[in-house]
Amino acid sequence: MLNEQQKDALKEVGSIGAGHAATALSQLVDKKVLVTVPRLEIIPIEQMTQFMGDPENLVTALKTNILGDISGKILFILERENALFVADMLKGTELGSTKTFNEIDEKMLTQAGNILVMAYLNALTRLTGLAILSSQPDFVFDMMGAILSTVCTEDGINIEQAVIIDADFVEESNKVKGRLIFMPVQDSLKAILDAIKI
Amino acid sequence: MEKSEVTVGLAELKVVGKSEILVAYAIGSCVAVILYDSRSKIAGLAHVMLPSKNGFSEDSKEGKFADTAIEALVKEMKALGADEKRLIAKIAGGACMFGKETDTDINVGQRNVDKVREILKNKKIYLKADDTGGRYARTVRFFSQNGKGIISSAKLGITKEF
Repeated sequence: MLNEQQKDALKEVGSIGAGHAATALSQLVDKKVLVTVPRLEIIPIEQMTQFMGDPENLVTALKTNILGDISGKILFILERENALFVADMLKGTELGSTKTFNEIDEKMLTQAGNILVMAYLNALTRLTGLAILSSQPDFVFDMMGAILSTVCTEDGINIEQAVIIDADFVEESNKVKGRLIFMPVQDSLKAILDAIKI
Repeated sequence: MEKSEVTVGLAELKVVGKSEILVAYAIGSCVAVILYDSRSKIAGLAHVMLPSKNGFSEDSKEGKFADTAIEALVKEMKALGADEKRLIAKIAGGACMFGKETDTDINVGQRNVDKVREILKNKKIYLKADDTGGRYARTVRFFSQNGKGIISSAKLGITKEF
């Protein structure tokens, strides 16, 4: 289990990452995007599906593998309605006009989600001094439970804990709830906590 | 639904008697292995996550791996009065959620399905229905009263019998 100081350190990474992401998203949609202070939870992997609620919930997820000094995975998750809304924002179409995700929507959501993930990884690099690389992101739209269980098993790596960061991105009266799930393999979580400088 | 459902979570396995509904939600690369004895109406479902316990010796959840899960399922069903010779199987899941379907290193879904089929063949359990692969997640229900299964995909908006 992590102590309060370690939790605070991970929170700091989340806050800095979310701040940078909001700035980048503002540039992307050419509107002022603000971000709330992220909420952070660290939970054992076996409790993750319970924590997430209804496993049949439809979500979009962007999965990125992490390599380099640490290894693991990052998922960026949006509930279906939020993702449709973001797709409209990115395309500049009337809100509510995107009903399903076509190839262009997937590309745009991947691009925007990737900015968020990179913002987080940059913050992590800066605060730890570790060399962190990332794979090309992989987009999927389906039931949340299926996405999570697949990510946890797909290449037999040992992930024991997940760091869950929730933040709301706000543009005028519109709000999008984003969720980042950072799943370092067990040794990597330790390496991060050892290296973190705050 | 008037009858209550018995939910089989990740890496779990459950066995029920007649007039019950087994359900496994949101199966991606996992495989729902259903075994059924139509005479005693005893049914079991295992929510398998990985092909084999090999290399995971410290993990004690027998429902997690295809090899240990099917073994345990048969044993539990026999203890309740099912006849192993009468067992039939229905399997669903094993989707490829990410990446290329042909990339077997990553496609754990296909590896799960291959292993389950192999074990059923070795055990001479007839595979009556096989709804596996593809690129979508499934929710699976099984009715022990009549041996019917229902698969639904929220993504595709489909529900079908199997």
